[in-house]
This record gives sequence, structure tokens and C-alpha cells, in this order.
Amino acid sequence: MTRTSARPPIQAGYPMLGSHGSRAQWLARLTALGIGICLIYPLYLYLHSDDIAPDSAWGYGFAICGTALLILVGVSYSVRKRLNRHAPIRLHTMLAWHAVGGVVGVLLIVLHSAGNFNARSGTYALYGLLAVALSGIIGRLIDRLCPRLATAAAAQAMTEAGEDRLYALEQKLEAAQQLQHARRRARRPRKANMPWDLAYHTLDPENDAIPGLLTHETMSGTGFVPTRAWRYVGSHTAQLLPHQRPFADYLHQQTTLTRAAMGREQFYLHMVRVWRRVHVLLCVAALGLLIWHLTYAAMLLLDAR
Amino acid sequence: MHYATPQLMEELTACIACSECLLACPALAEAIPIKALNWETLHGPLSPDIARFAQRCYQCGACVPVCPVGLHRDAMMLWLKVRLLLGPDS
Repeated sequence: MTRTSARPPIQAGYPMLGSHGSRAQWLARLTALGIGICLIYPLYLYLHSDDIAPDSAWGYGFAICGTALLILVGVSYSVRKRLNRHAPIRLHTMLAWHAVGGVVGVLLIVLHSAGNFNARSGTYALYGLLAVALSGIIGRLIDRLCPRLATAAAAQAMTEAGEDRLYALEQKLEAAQQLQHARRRARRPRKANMPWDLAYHTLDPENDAIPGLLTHETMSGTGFVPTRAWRYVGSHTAQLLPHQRPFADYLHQQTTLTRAAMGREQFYLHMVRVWRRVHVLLCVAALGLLIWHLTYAAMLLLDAR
Repeated sequence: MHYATPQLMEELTACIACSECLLACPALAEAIPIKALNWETLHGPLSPDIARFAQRCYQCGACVPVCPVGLHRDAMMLWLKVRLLLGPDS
């Protein structure tokens, strides 16, 4: 009888849109689908009735259910996120219900509008809620796509050993520079009048020797890009010999590519966080419009009575 | 922003395993021992749970302000994502 290893399989690969949904996400989606299926028949009755209007009985029902659902999923997620980290429900589960409840709530509000898009407070509130739902859907796509792109950019900005590519090349270039300097010093004939006291020797490197280090001989196999060293080389371009220029150009190109990768990484990571703030700002604006609409509708109802 | 190996090792050593970062994470769907997460961030093959978590992490940064030691779990997760992207030999 052969025994199988209990070691978990090695996981590799990172698909562009991340992993499949979690159990909590699928449960929330299936619940929303179930609610949608259950609403088909009442919706059919509503659409074939004589009273299709925002202020009909069905319209009020959609409005109350949608608003209650939006407030419930919005407030519960915010409270769970900020106040109680040790609550029994995971934040991930709350987020799944927040996303699904937000979309269903906005659909109920759309049904409440009954195709009435006159320039009134309710229409502006509806547009605000649609913007919130749309920003949430786009945000979920950004949450999946941007971290993957940032990861690819970070992989380009790092060496295979996990070091920062710019820093690693700078270290190697400095090491090569010191080695070359030591070789030159060793080859140089000792002058008879050179002082024996070490205090008379300068410890500064010979700056004019650095362009000479930029040869394929000293830098072959490094494959890295300098920052400080490149700036130095850039200021001494005029001193480069013709056979050194291609390699200097290569260094410049590699520096540019690595810096671009780092810039892309920063951009994608900022995108995730900035979009979250955009979503919150839209929520605040939509809440203001909703309160305005509710106040306006309440005044109309009170005047009618 | 990504970390280099020395920074990452410093942070992993400084982690006190209080799990506050995981409790604040909106991407964590199932319980993961933080010691296993710390270990697999740098060493060995990735277990399925941690690989899924690394894929689901969307770098929102919710884990950073709650850390009592001031560590950057988001940068550690980015490292884990790079490992995931480059494959098991990375």
C-alpha cells in the first residue's frame, strides 16, 4: 500500500482577476438571486397594474425596502469596520453582503422610480445612488485588477533574490569601483618620495577613474542599474570613451525601465485606495440627496393631508 | 511599496503575532494562523489557504493602522503576491 504525502500542494500563479469568489460571496450572490427570482411575480403584477407610479402602494413598498436595505448594508459595514474588530462576523462576510445588498437596494429604488425621471429631488437622489452602486462595481474590479498589476510591476523592480533592483546594481557598481581602484593602486609603482605616514594618503576615490569602470569587463553579469552611480556617470558622460557609451546607454535604459516599474506599482496601489475614498464621497453625496428627497416627499404628503 | 528582503525579515521578526491585521482585513475569508502566514511569506511552498488569501488581498491598507508595532502587512502581502506570481521556485 502506498502512502500519499500529507504536504499541501504548492500553489503557484496569480490570475489577472484574482481568485474565485469565497463561500461568503457566493452565499450573498445566491441569496440576492433568490430574492430576485421571488420578486419576479410581484413585479409582473406591478407592471400590469393600473397604478404604476412612485407614489403608488407598490412604489412606496419598493422605496421603503430599497432605502432600508441600503441603510442596513451601508451602516452595518461601516460600523463593523470601524468599531468592532472582534465581532463574530468577519469583515469579509460583511463586505460581501454590503456589495450585494447595495446593488439590490439600488435596483429596488429604480423600480420605485417607475421610469419617472423628471427633474425632481427623487431623480437626483436616484442618480446619486446609481453613481454609488456604479462606483462600487468599478471599485470591485479595481480591487481585483490593480493589485495584480502592482504585483507584476513590483516583480520587475526587484531582483530574483528579492532585493531592490536599483539598490542592488548600485551596490555592485560600487563594489566594482572599489575593486578597480584597488587594482590600479596595486599596479601603480611606488614613488620614492611617497610619505610613509598613512595620514598623508587621501581616502577619497579617484573620481576620474569611475568612467573607466563602465566597461563590459567590470559590469558584465551584474544586470542591475545604479542610481547615485548613474547620476555620477551622467555628469561625466563627456569623459566616456566611445566603446563605453553603449553600456552607459544600457544603464540609462535599465534605470528608466526600473523607475517606470516602480511608478506603475505606486500608481496601481494608490488607485485602490483613492477609489475607495471616491466611493465614500459619493455615498455621502447620495445620502444628502436622499435626505433632501425624503424631506421633500414628506412635505408633499403632509400638505396633501 | 514593495520591500526588499532585509526589510521584510526585520518586519517579520518584529511581528508579535497579535493577529490584529487579520481581524481588520476585509479580504480574509477563512481563518489563517498568522505564524503560518509569516513563515510562508518568506519560506517554503505556499499552502492553498494562504495562496488564496494572497490572491484576494487587494492592498487596501486596512491592516496597517491597527498594527500595535507599526508594521506594514500590506508590503508583506505584496511580497507574497510576487512569490505567487513568480511561482514556487521564487
